[in-house]
Amino acid sequence: MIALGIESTAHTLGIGIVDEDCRVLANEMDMISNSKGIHPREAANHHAQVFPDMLRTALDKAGLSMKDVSLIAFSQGPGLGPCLKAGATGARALALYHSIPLIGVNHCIAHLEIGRKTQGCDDPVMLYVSGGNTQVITYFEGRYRVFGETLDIGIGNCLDKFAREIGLEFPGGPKIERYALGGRKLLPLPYTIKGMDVAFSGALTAALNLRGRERLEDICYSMQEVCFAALVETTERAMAHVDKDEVLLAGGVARNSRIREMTSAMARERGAKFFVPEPRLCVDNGAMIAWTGLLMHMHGGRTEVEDSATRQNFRTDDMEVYWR
Amino acid sequence: MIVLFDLDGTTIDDSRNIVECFRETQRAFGLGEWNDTEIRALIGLPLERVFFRISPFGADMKRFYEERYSSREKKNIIIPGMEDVFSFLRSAGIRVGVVTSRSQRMAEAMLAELGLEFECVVGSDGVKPKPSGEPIKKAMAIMGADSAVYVGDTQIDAKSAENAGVEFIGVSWGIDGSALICDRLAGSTEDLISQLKDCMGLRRMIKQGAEAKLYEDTFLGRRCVVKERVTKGYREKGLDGELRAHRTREEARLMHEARISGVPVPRIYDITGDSVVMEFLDGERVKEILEEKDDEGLCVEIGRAVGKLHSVDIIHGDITTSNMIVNDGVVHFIDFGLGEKSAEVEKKGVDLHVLAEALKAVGKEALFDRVIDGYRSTYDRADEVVRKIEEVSRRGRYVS
Repeated sequence: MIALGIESTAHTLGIGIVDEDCRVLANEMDMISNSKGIHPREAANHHAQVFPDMLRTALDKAGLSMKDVSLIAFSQGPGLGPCLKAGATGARALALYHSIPLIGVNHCIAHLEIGRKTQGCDDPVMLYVSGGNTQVITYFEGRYRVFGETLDIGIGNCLDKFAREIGLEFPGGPKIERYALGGRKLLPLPYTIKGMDVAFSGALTAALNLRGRERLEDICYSMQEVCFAALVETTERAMAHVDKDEVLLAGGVARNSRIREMTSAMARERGAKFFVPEPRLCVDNGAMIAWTGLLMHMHGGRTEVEDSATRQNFRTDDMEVYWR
Repeated sequence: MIVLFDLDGTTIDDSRNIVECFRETQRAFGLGEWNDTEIRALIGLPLERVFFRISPFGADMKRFYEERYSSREKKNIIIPGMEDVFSFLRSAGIRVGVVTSRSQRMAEAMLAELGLEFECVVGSDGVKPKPSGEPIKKAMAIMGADSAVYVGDTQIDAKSAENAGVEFIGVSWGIDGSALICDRLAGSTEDLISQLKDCMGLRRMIKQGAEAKLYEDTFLGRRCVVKERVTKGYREKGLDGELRAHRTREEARLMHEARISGVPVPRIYDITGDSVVMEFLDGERVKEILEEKDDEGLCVEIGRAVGKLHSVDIIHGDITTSNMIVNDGVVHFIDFGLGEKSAEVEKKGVDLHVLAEALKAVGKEALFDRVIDGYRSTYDRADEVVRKIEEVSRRGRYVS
């Protein structure tokens, strides 16, 4: 069985092709470049424009044609409305034209499923860190439940906003990581944990207020140290709460080596195992959508076209996990 | 079980003296002088080996060095706090020894000068030096012990403990600092005492949470519980210390205020940087009592206590049936680790909602009404909060 997955929740259009053993036959992606951030409508236009060529490239790389594809999976949400719609439209068109079953996938769950499958972890607590999403998720009583999440902005968004304000181009996270390497002094920034949830807008404002008064390297260093520590702490609490000994790091910010180091140190101290997918499966990509769709489909899942409307606020815990 | 200590970096910090004498020796033998970092990197290795590596006159150099070294005045070079560690071990009746890469003679002279007493001192003479396990084994043989803990500050020390088949506790104030990789790393001398207690089985761990460990210990002869907030290696050191100290203080403060408001909590005996030492409460948890019977009177009591807490704006943060202990017929509240001070009706509602959920989980939701009865009798704004509870449970995140 071959599944084609379409990812379009934010700045990246991804088209991936996987088989039932989760061999990634193609995983094409293209990110709209704009130095200031994501403009939803522009991003949606970009996705629509590059879609046909990217589909062709993906099929060529996989050595397949549409006839070989037995399932079309797409990101149904959560994400930016116009971007989601662009991907969903493409998915519906392909499904109807080629008479292939369609399945809508929750983007956050896809990050977890691709990690589980490719990294060999069985039942992890996932720290999912990206631009828009920041959640601690794990399987509990039939659902993927959110044990902690950001109460305001995503961690990636926090870093990107800071970078933009100080004149660095989007995406700012990697640039902040480079500056942070030169940091020597930890500056006081609000460390906000409320129960199992985190918040970053306070740290962002405080960091911006330090501009010009402290070394940029120290500000970047402090932002990473404080914000990431809060994330790792809530992840550890969730692990203790549900008594699990695997932690999976995923999302675009998982490419930051400091958060990887901190999460793996936490796991080591707890005697738990740490997993992180390879970079191309960590960021937003089509292969993870294809794989999750395929997994759901193999357990009887299917989305009719009339039920395929995109859901900007698609909650992780909104669906029964019938495939595990 | 005995405890063996490494000297340099772990028990004493003599690096300034060592560096200067080393350089004087190099100068005297007409060799190029090394900088501080280069010399410090050698501390811990047997001197003779080092000198033979840089000159054929190794033996002479060693003699010269030792002369220079012994002529120096030893100022206060004992690591602050280490004397407390030794006196703790002495009071616990645990025998101690030293295993060092210094020569036996130098080590003994040094310890005599500093007034430190050990049952046995093993230097580098006559044994295959660290990282081999021999020096540690020799000390164990002399002291007639079949198990030991070695306390050291370098990866070499860790390796020799491993080779000798004994437990190792690393200290972060020495040469390898907190980069030292080992299962037990003590960040302070207080921490070292705690780690030693764990190793020697002197205290029993009751529970390990995400943030803190709970031990049963004794305090001035009384049975007590120590709640110790553990170091998180992933956090920047300063941030880690600050968070642990802050939360420890906050928790103790909340417990104190709860007691003043008339709600029984364990008595606090002591507060250190990262731990609260408190009374050990014998008794049964409410959880177990309710499993046996639907004790309505007990639930009213619980409600009355929560009402008192909320009257002074204390939010417990984790009111579950496991966090209440009945001691001498009185309900005591424990674990204020998630607590805070707040006047918000929302937070008070959530606080009670947690208890409602806990009761529901064991099929005792009917008892929650008794809790509310008690709550109303001690808190005059109970109605608002009760309305809030309904709202909170409706919007629960974990839809079912």
